[in-house]
Amino acid sequence: MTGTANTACIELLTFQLADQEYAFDIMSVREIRGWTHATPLPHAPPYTKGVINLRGTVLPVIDLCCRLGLPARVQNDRNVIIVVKTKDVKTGLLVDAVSDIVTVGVENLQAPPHTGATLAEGVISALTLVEGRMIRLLNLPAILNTSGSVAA
Amino acid sequence: MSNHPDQMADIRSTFFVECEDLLEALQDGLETMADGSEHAETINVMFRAVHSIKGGAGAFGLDRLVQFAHRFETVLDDMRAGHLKVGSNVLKVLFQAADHLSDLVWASRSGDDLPDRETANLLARFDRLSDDRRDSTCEQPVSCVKAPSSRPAPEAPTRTAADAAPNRENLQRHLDPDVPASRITGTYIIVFTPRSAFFETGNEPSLLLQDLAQLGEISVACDASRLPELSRLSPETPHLSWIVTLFSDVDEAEIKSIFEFVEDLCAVEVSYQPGAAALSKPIVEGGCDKLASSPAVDHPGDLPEGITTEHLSKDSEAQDCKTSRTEKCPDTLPTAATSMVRVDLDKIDKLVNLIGELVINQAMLSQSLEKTGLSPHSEAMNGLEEFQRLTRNIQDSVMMIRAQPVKSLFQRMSRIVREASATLDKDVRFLSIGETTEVDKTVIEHLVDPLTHMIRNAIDHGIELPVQRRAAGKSPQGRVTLSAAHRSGRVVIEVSDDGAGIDRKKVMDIARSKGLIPLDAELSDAEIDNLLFLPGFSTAPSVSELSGRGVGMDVVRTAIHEFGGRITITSNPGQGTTFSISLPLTLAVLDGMVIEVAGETLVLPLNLVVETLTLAAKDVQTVGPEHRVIELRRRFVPMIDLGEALGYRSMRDNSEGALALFIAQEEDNCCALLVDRIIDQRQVVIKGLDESFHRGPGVAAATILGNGQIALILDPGDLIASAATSGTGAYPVHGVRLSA
Repeated sequence: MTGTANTACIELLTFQLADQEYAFDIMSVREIRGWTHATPLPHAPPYTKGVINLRGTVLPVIDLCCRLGLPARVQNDRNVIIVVKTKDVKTGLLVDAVSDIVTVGVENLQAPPHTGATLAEGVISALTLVEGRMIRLLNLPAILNTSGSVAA
Repeated sequence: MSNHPDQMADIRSTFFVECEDLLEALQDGLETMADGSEHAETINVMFRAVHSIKGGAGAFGLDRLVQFAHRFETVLDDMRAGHLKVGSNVLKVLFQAADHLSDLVWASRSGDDLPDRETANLLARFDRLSDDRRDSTCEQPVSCVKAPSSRPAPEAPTRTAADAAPNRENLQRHLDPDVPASRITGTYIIVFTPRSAFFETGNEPSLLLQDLAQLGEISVACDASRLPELSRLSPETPHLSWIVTLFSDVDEAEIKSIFEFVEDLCAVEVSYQPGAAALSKPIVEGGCDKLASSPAVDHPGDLPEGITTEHLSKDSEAQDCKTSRTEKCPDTLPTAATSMVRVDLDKIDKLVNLIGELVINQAMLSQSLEKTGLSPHSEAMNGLEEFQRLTRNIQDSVMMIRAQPVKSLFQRMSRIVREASATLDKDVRFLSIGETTEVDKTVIEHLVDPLTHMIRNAIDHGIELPVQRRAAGKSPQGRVTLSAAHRSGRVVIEVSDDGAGIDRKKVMDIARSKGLIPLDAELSDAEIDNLLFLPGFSTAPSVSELSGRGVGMDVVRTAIHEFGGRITITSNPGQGTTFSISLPLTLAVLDGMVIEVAGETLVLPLNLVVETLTLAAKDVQTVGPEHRVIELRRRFVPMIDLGEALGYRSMRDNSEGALALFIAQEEDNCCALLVDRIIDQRQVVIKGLDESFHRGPGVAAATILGNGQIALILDPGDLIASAATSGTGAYPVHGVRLSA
């Protein structure tokens, strides 16, 4: 996704989590699925929703609200599971609703300010403004890694 | 050559796969010989196996493998020719050599260091065998390292002898460049014609001709008379033949050895004239002379040996030249088509997965059709039934593809027996029964380590020393039997020895001294035998080289449990011990009991559920604050509330109407699991939960149900163990005995 050397852009998939707008680099997103009942895993960390059947493979689902420490959502039919893939491992992330796909120049990405404990984990990699809305770009490996190490 | 490195790697790995089969054939042959039931073909099969390994190894430049295989082959050749009598002594060396050959193959495959010392050791033993036979036939002993200088010149009579054992002399001279050229030099005329399959196997005539060139002065003429029109020319079919004039002191066998690996793929005729011949003019009959100066040779182009695209007029004399050639091997080239296909395991796994999907899909389809309220006699439902039957058949067939006979596993074990008995100075005979029993490939892989350990144990601890055996009135030769059989949908593998049996008094003493059992415990014989499976138990008074490193039978049992197996032990003092392993046929599907706990659907392995009981309130008794037991036929069985153990809900207050499933991991141990409802019994496809999942205790894997939902497959053993260690639920790890 490079036009010329000066205007490198990335595409972001934005979504809602507890009235805040978050985003992933769209290159890591594989598909978006409607919410289905997840089979809970015994003794799993609270943010692990369970596992769902993704065309015959077992896909773990993480509740992103819970993972980021945001207030729990009210379940509705706009809830979706974003299937992401990192290092050949697929994971489902439960979000409130998917909003949009936006293209952002990399020069418009700002490092998140040091505000204290909530962002200390480094799960937010950048902030950017799109049409006056602030979008929080999530650091996917950090989100998944922590869950992995907790599980291990 | 033009081979891409990746391609070479492919061919190389194919070679090693073939080596597995060849080594197996070799082993088979040796075992047939050991039984004394060999026939003429046995030695030929063995010879061919070693020969093929040598051939392949040569192609990949695995020189030391080639050298060893070559010497091995020579010994076999001696046997084939009847120079070497088969005796127990010889067989022992051959068995060792076969083992070593297999080591060399694996070392070459993985690029490990080759066990040179062992190689030298065996080569020396080969020499001794050869010496024996040389002495017996009044020939001069030949040492491998240095050849005697005064060897009779290989004249015509010697050449026939050399045909019988062609390679000894060859290697001799390859190894020893100092052999004086005391031989009579002569001129050979070699007519070399590749057959149609020559290029298919990746052979290259120029390399063979280069090899010939190293034997002496050489001149090559090409016979291009069979070359068709350019439009009809197939580049994959050899159209040329070569007439080579070689001035050299080598014997005919050596020349033939160059063509050894392609002998089925080409016709080679060698004729000999003593003395020097004018090399400037190739000595061939008739028109081949002319051919030597034909365009094919004068304008070789960029292809070696003058492959030319020019069409040569058919020379009648050249035709003569061709027809005068004797056909060395009859045209039985395409060897009888085998009925085997080599398939990448990944492809089969993919098929297995797809079939799994199909089974799930079919279940989903039948569920949704049932919901529509169709009559069970409607066409759709009948079709669905047929569909179910077919799915089941396909599934069974695919599972059978993955199944392999346990033979390869048993052969590995026979080697363990040989090595262990040699190390321990015990004379042990290895018997294997039911080698053709087929088991899923993954099961076989899982069995290697446990079986190795058990067989070493049997020889180390089970079989007595020959002296002791004689004293006990037994044959000094011990016996270890490994058997496999299908029994009611499972595979039963037994390792038994005819040794002293378990010394129960000693076992008790050790268990007491190690604090594994209370000092005043009174145990039945079977209970004592089962002490062997306790962690940290080792009966060997001293740590021996083979077994008894502290990792004992408990590791074996854990390994076998891990893939759904069970192990039991029976022992008779003075008569021996038998370990019996019962395994599922496959690790891809499972006969499961589908249950419901706190609204969640779960699957338990059906084979572990021995009994179910609908509970009345009075059946459950509480011991202490939280332990609960169920009375079953006057025995108290510890109970675990599955909903609580998995964290789905708190402990069920009222057991009225709930179901207790009695789970037997071992024959003697039993625990009860409290569940809400049994939904179904069905075959489920196992879906592994990989490392990135949080896998709680007691969860083994997952499966997909007919409604598309995922259900977890439980491992009751793990569940019971973790409940016991966490202090909730049942008290003992090993439950209680159900049967009186």
